[in-house]
Amino acid sequence: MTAQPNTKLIGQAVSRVDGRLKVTGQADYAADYHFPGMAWAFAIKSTIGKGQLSGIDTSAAEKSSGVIKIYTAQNRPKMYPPKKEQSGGVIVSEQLAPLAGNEIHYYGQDVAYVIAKTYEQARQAASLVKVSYTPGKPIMTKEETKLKAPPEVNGLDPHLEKKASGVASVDSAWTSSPVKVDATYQTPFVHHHPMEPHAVVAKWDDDRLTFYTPTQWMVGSRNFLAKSLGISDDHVRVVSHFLGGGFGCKGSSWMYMLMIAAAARDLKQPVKFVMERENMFTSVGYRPFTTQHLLIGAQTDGKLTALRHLSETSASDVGHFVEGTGHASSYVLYDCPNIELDHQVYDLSLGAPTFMRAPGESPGIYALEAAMDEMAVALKMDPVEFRLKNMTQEHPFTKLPFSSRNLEECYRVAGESFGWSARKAEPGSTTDGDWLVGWGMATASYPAHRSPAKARVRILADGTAEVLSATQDLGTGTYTIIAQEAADELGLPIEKVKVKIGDSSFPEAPVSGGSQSAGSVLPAVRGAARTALAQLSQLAIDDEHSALKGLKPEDIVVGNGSLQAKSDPGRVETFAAILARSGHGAIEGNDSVDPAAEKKQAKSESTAEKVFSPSTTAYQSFGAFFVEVRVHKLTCEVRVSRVVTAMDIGQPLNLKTARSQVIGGAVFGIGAALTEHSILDAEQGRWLTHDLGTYHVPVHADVPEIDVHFVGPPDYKFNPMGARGVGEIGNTGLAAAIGSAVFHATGVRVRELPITPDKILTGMLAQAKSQAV
Amino acid sequence: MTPKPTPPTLDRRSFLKGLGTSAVAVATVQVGAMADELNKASALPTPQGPAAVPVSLTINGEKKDFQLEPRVTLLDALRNFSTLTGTKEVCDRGTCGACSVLLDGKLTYACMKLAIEVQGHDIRTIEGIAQNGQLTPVQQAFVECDALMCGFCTPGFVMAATSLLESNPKPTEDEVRRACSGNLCRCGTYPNIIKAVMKASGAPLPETNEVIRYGSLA
Repeated sequence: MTAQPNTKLIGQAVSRVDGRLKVTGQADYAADYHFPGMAWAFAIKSTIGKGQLSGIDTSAAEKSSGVIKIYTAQNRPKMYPPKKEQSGGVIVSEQLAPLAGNEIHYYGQDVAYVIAKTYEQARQAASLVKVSYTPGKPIMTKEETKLKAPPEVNGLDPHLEKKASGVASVDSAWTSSPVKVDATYQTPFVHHHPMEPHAVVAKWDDDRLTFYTPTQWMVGSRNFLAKSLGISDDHVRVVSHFLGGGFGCKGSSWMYMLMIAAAARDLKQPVKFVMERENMFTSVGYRPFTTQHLLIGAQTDGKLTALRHLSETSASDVGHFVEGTGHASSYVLYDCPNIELDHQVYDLSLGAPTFMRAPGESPGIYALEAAMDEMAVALKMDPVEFRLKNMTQEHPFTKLPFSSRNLEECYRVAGESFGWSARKAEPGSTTDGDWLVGWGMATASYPAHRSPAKARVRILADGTAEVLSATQDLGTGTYTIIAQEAADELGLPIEKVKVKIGDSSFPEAPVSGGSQSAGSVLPAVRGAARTALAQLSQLAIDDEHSALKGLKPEDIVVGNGSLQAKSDPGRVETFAAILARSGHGAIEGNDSVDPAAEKKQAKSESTAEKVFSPSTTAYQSFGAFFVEVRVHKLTCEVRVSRVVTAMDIGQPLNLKTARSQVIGGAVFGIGAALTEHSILDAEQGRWLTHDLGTYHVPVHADVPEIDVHFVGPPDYKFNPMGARGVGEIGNTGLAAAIGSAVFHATGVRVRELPITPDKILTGMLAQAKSQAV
Repeated sequence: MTPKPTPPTLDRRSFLKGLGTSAVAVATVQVGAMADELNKASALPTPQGPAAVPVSLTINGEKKDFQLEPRVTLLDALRNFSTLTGTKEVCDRGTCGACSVLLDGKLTYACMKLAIEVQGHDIRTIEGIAQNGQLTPVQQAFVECDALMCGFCTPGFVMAATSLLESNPKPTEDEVRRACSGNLCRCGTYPNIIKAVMKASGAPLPETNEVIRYGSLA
């Protein structure tokens, strides 16, 4: 049985199927749920950066109106927080159990929770709780602590190197290189700040928990809650039909979730908790501070001879996440005979860091690409020409061939669209009134991942269909691409396919991290749709009264909600009619796709080429950013005036949503380059940026038109859709391109993000001074 | 809810004054407004609260009666004391615009208003924009231009865009930017929001730039 040609929705610019709900305020997010008798929780946070809790006086708060209970370390509800951060389908970034004891590890650590009848009453009572401390000295800088090698970086050894034969060390190869760059880059702490705050509504019905929370992994959050509440995982249902963004901070299960679930069990009433924006700085992760030392050597013709990427990144003694910078950039981008990666971490008195959109790649590619631009300048080569000298069709370390790599085409398409060939090499060569105009470019890249996923497709009595999977839509467009895929397979108009996701009771799907959801879940949707159709087809074949009676399955095609004979379009049966005559209310097809098993299942040499095989193939997306900035010659304010990008992500599943993902990633890149910076008070150990007024995410005025191109063929070696995922690659490369453009405009090289006017001004003053001498 | 004794450290008057200042102090430029607010609070003949009091609001043309403590914001009244959860809470500090509503037709942050002070005013929320299930041109254009991703800032942007087009039906792109300058989007939909508002205003849109060129190397 085959779908009719020329009806494919996959790949087209289909409007979001959930768009209507979102523009009318009808989309139901976790914190929109209310239940009779529901209480509110309010968290009380430590106000010291390190030390001991010496006392909590709740007497005044207990008497405050509406208070139901105040939880402290003394009366913590029953729970079993996991000891291990990552085991059995659970991801936990911060190991510190809620209200675990008197030791304070960081500013903003939970010390008590007030439960009251209303939000206002809980907040009021929280203000009456008196907490006393014996403060210690928080460790806030690298200099106060020790560097150490983490157990692993992105699953690899923290120190990796490859050398050409006869080369003593990568360092010696660098030292003897004719042209050298030696530069150190810093990227600051940054925070995710999805618009939707973390939130929980926990509701128990006897010993069963329904838990509304925005999570990037329904199944992982369910597993975490079941384990740490000591109940069966089929007694926990995690629901979040919509997420108001995630960007990584909703990828882990956080202990506040456990706290609220345990409190609701203890109090025998539903409890709601919505995290204060201020606590989104302290309590749900951030991107670590990175310092990256890049040493690049090249021949005078631009061929790379040595690349050393030495990283030091902040960590926390209550977490384990490592921002794998060099291992996510210099590891994979360019051909170079001698490469050394080294990674060390240092623990600060902060809550745990966690994955943030393109973890590792974002700061790692920033530093590598900034250094590559410095090398192009040192070589007096065009930055694109220099990169083109160092292309590779195989992974530089593993030597595995890339499944599909079209970076040269990305440079060409984006460069032509941008008009790069008109670039004057000399910095400061273009002005527009008081504005210095600069152009820069950089490479973008992100690996492609797949994980096991399941889906169920049901064809219903009225001839419509529904698709169920415990995956989630963070705003990426998961609802829409699933509807497109199912509609294509079932030959139904998209309006007749209802997608049900965001519920852990549906067939299991992986965490929406690593840009893997589309590539993992859609093959299962396709398989489930085909299974359902095969059953429906069999019903029609076996049915005495069917126009399709006695046909072979391969002689039947599907379209317009009907099955018909391939050879005779007059022999047709609607889904509804087949079901009605069969007496079945619905037909159900399930599929479970384990990418690791695909190679074993491949039947022939020709199909073996088209199966996922990470042991023999490298899967990596590449792209290019070209950008124009304007720097005011007096105020040093930077405006991004043009962005052009070309991305090779295989097949874009939906041109609208894929384009939006790239735009969104680019806007993250503009923020990283120019505005975003979480600032610490090194004495107190607290975040000075504590709201969206002090932490500057890009706003309308910061974002120009962003011109997005997709290049390269579908990558059928990766999955049957040929799609490698697009959520994160947009947040790689642009920050470096902006830094290079600022250099091109001003001649000032800022190596510490964000590139704020003070840093440019300092460089311009130094420049003026040296010219005056 | 039974009235509770006045909190020990506050008399009713200073409690009300506190309400006025905390609600306004965060709105940075409104020094004059703060003084007005204090005067207004002092001049009230009957102090209200701190226990819940009857509050009557006109929301989307419909009168709704609440029992609210005077400290409940308009945002929390909508979200927590009625079923109008389309208005979103993001910052609760007047910095993001996600809770935007129209108050007597004027774009207003609902987190910056107490419910009790908007009695007698006409409140329009995102739920009151589409009429009889028909999306407005703004809503339709947001969907078609993909001017939303996660959707959490979207109600606020739809309100801001609606407010703009009601007062300025043919805005320029810069006017759209300015009108939406009080709204944050973390997914980065800004370029598509401009397209959507321009489209809703009837302006001709240039072709989108997305280009598929696969096959050129295969």
